[in-house]
Amino acid sequence: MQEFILLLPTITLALGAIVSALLRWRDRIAYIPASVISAIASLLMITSSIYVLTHGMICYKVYTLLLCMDELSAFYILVLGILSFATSIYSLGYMKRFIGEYSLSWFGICYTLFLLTMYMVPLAMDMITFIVFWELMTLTSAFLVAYESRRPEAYRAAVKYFAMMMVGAGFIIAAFALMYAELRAISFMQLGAAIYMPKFIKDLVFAFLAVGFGFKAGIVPLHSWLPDAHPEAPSNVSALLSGIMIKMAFYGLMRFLLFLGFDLWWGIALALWGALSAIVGTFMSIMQNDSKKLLAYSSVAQVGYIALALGVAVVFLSSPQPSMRIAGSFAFIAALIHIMSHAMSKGSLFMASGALIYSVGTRNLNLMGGLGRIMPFTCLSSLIAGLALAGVPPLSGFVSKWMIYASALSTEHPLIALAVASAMFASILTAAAVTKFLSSAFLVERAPSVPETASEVPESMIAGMMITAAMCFAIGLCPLIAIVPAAIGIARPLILSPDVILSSLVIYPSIVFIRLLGVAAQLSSLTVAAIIGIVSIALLMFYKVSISRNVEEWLSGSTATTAPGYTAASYFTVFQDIYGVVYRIRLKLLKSIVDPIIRFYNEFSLSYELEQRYTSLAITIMVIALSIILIMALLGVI
Amino acid sequence: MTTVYVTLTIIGSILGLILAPLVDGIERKLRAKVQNRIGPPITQTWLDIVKLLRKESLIPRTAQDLFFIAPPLTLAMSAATLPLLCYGAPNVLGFYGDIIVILYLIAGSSILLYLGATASGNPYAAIGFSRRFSLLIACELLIALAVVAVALKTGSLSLTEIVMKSELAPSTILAGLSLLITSYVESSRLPFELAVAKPEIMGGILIEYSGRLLAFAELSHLLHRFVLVLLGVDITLAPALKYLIELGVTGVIASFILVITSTVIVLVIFGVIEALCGRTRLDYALQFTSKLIVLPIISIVLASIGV
Repeated sequence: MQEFILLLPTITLALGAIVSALLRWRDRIAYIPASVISAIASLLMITSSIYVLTHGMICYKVYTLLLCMDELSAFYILVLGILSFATSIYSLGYMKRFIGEYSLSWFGICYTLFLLTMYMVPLAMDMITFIVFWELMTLTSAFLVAYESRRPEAYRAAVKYFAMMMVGAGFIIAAFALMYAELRAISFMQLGAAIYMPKFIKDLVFAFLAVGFGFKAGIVPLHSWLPDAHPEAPSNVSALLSGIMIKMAFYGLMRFLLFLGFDLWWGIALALWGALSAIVGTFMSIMQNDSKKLLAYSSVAQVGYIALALGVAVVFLSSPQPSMRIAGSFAFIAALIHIMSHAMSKGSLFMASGALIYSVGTRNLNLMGGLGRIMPFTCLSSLIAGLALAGVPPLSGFVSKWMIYASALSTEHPLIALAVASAMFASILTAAAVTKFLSSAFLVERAPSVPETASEVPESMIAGMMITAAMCFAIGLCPLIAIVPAAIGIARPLILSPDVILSSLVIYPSIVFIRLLGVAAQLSSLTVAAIIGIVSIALLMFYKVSISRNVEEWLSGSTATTAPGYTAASYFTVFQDIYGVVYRIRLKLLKSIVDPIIRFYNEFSLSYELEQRYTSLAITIMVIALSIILIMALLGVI
Repeated sequence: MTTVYVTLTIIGSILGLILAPLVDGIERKLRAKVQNRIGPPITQTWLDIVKLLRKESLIPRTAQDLFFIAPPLTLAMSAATLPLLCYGAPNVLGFYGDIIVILYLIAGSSILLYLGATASGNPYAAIGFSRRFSLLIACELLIALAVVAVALKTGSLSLTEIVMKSELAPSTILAGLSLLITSYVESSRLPFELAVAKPEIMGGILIEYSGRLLAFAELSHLLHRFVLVLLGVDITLAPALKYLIELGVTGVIASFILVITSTVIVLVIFGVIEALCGRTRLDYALQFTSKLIVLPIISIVLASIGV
């Protein structure tokens, strides 16, 4: 019976793929069953993950293939489920854009299979299954990136993405091969012995895994696929790519780190690497005028925060003291909560940028402006999500960032402290990028290029954006709804009890607030804020109302049509002069480190790009090869 | 003892709200003296705010709802920092990481006000926004580095604990001083008053705000100045405060008075410096702040070698 809970989402999504394939001859409606079935499957995923979080691990055995959902997988599946529920509902409206242009049945197949493979990656219990589903996830997402296949940019972005993922997978497979050579085991059950491998081998395995998963996560300088691929995908898919797929890399890294054990220098390297990614990502992000590129670069930065938190966790856990184990679990929880809060906020923002495309028809922020009046709900949801991403209290991003800083600074290690300082700096840069997005798209004066027909998007799209924005708000106001699953998720792998972790975690402001309410009428920051906010809003609204609306704005004498406009391209240009060194370093890093690796695969990708007629053949061969491996794993041959 | 601490924190919070505009009045009086004018009475800023609260708010044709919602929320967020601060007496409400909460509340409330300003639809507001934000970014780097230096030295992120654990260390004092200098730049005082720049962009972010909305925006801006300086004073004077607090009740009250008076004195000195300056350009301002990075970096280096 339990196994059924685990299997239901799989069956539902497979059914969705089949239905979409059958609807090839009624292409105009093919997106509806795919979206509805995906939404149902997402609810099933949420159910199964909550079941696992409350009742413990479930396993299911198909012949010899073992699939298990333990608490850590369940946390990822919870995030996946919430986000994919929102994007699936959003798809109901958004995909109308493509009716008659691109095949909707093809979208349905890829979308459901993409969700299916993302669901299966955390369930894999051996290295072969893991890598097979990992590659299938790459493949289906590459198809989705290239969905608008008649646009050469989309096609090129997909090929670049695919080629770089091949490199990344190469590193992961190399790490797996090293572990296999050393341990003669592929099952996760037996990999616990990895901790006894020689130090040198462990270092090598960690380096390979970090680089391999770093490609998927898009950590600088391995990120160059990300700002191309995420904007080119349809927006509902971009939300999934940025929201959860790149975080699957951290699932892999966490999982294998738990096998490998921890080392002080691994942690410091990860933390510094993450800080670098945060700085470079945000610096690039504030310069973008393309709404989705801006968000994509910001994802590069936020991934850096997760790497920083994970690095801090490794630093703590490398210490033999038992008290450090709890501190390490805090850092782990911080990473997990950042994954959740970023999934929600970035998911909502990507969906909002899709809504902008839907109604204005462009990604260029210079051609927008004043859309808050036309699209109030999109504006509201992206305002909440944007402020949450920037870490404005009391929203979700603040919870995770506060936890990251607090746990990182308690390592009292100078290098980590430096990483934290750069992360704090990156945080205000994130705010700059987000406010640039918000103000140039929604707030400033309406640009003349906005079409007269622009209007608010359909209700289903609003619902998708609002679900994720509401999650940002909920996590911020009551962090426990994210902290409890994360604590349960990380407790068992670290041999701790969730209660122990949770009882030591009473310092966050709003938790303090909840406790104080029970004790006595003491002042808390939030109560003061609430009182002053209510008083001032009341002053504004009710006391002696004297508000004149629709006054002419002051433009120093010029009329609205001749007044100087202020478009997205004008924001923060001064930074290119003052901090130009950051932008130059980025280029050098990219050229000297990544290019040789990419060039190695260039031959492959070039031929792949030029001869389009072989594409379907090549893909078919790949799918068949992967399925053969899967079947062999099923039958226990490997 | 706890009751003394709680009362002093409550008094401090209320005093902060009253003092922030009052100190601005003192600054205006002194600035007038420097410039050979008689100047307004020191209650003038309060009178201005009270008058603005009663005046009509104009909402431009192009404005959106956020224009209207942002100022009260900004005020609420900046006032929320007041009970978290350390006014000489240890703050019972303090917790690990409250300094981050304070900084994020200040930054967040500024961001909200800027967004509200751009929601007016006036291009001058957008210019002011971009300038102000660029400066905020540059300052936030300095603040982050200084806070990290303090955290490294004292091993804490709680303001009260930083005070209670501090010792006479050059790194902490340097970090406190660099916080003070940064707070001068961040609170958009004259050489750096780029976002408002009345002769140039006619009030920038504040161009369309009037009446009650302007009063909220002004009050929260003055609160930002006060809170940032108080933070710097707390960290710079931490060893002295610790010495006083350990003396008992009279010592705590003395340290309370020390913190409040030195905050007022620093603000007044800032006001006098402002009287002697003219407005600079954004790129010069950013170059200046990027040179200032040396201070907190030295402080971090000192902290990591333990002095």
